[in-house]
Amino acid sequence: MPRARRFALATLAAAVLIGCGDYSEVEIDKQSPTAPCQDVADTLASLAFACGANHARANARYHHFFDNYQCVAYDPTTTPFEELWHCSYSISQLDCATVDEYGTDFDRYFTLSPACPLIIRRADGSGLPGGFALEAAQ
Amino acid sequence: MRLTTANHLVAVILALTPALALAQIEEGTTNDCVSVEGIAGSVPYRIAALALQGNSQLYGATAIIDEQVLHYLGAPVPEETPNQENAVAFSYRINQMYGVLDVPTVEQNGSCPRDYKYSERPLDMASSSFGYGYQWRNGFGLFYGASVSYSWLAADNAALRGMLSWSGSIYSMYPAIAAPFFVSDEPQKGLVFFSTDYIAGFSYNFGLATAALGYVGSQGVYARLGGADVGGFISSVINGDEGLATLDLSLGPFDLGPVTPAFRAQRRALIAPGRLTETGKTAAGVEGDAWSNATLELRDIGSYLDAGFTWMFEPEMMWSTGTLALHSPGFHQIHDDPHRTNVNVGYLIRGGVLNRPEMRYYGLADKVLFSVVAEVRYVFDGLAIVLAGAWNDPRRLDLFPFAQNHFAIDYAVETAF
Repeated sequence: MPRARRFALATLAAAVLIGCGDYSEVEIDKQSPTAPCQDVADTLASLAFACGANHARANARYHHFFDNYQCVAYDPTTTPFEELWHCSYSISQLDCATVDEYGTDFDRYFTLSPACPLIIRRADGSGLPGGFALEAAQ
Repeated sequence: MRLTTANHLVAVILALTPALALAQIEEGTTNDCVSVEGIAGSVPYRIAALALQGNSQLYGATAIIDEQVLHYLGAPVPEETPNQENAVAFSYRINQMYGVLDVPTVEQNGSCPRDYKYSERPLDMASSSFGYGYQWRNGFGLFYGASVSYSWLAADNAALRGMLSWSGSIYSMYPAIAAPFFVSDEPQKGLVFFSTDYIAGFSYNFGLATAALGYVGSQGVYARLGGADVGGFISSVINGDEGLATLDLSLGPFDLGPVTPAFRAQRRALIAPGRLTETGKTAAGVEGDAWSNATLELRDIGSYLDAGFTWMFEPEMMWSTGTLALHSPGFHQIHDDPHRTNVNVGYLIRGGVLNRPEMRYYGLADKVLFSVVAEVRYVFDGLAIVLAGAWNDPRRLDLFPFAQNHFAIDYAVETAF
């Protein structure tokens, strides 16, 4: 059998496998209860990077967050979870001049949204001031 | 060009494959999360915009001209036909990337099961790009390349997900031709992005080397110098606002008998995630750092084996990639010169280990990844057809460093005569 024909038959076999395969559903992961808080830490790093910080300094912002704060887990099935993302959204809106001014004084970033105190605590366990009234929102 | 029955059969099969997949969609889904939206402001959401408006735009059209078209136009002229013919090079690629990153989403209309209302949904990308070059017998040449890329949140159903990739790939063939009219600096809204790019310029083949100068629609000046005998090139894209956007160097392959070494190095801007405007638009960030590495590949060890090693210089000094590949004899000749290769079909499977630095600005911890690439190349009458599937292809992760644990499919048609 010529090589070209063998190749065509092999392609046909592959196409049949693809076309007639078991197309189960795509695996979609649920969000982690701490996802909005984790994203705040990533946002602090990405914002620093976007404003001229190098790779190392941008990563350092992330670690500075977890050296001084901790994430609070929420049950996404019982809380208005999307509102909790407002914290990282608000931080991501800052211009570079403000980012330079705030530096690593993260408390100043966390006053930008009432969602921040709901998902972030200080490392010693004490809370940040402010926050949504979650019970009312439900 | 001579088309055999087998060639036609392959074309028909490739055309029917998505139709076969589409037939499976009727099986339906149980999640029915049909109205999901990415959560604006999250880092993955902003990287998703970055993926198209920065990386994909930059590396689509330019790459096909850089690696394929000018490679063929600059190839050594055979001694038996010394520069008597005009030369033509054409390349067309479809690329599909599944799971570029996971984007936090929220389901809006309430039909989604409660557990899946807040999900991490994969973002898929697809692109089409083509490049064309023509070189007159006096050595002067013109080239043009264009690309269209787009992305969307993955459907729940795997068959539908594949179909969206295929549909987009096929339809984006047409706007690719008119890409210069669609190139825009305007940021886009939402997670369904559409971006285009183009490159146009001229080249001159001096015999020993080919010089090319062009313009990249999204960036600025493109320059390339390729050597016929060393089989390599150096090229760069220079952004008018931010300086060097890319620098590529390739040397070899050198036929040293028992092994054939090839060397390549690159430096690319690490594009920062943009910030969102009040309307949810994304503006590209400024360049913060670079991604650079060098790769030494030893090809055709015993005719069947390749070994590669990559060292990263930026953003961190570290070993980056180690690969081993098994392939059929003559596999690399098909890319090096499909018009003069003496093999019709080539197969390759490559496995590797990738060492990735911590990139928290992309939401990524440092980690070790595994990579598998399978590729088939088929040649008839100087026309090469390439089919490839890859999990964590190291070269694609150089272009999209944040796209860890993605699966990619490539289809390409290349020719030169």
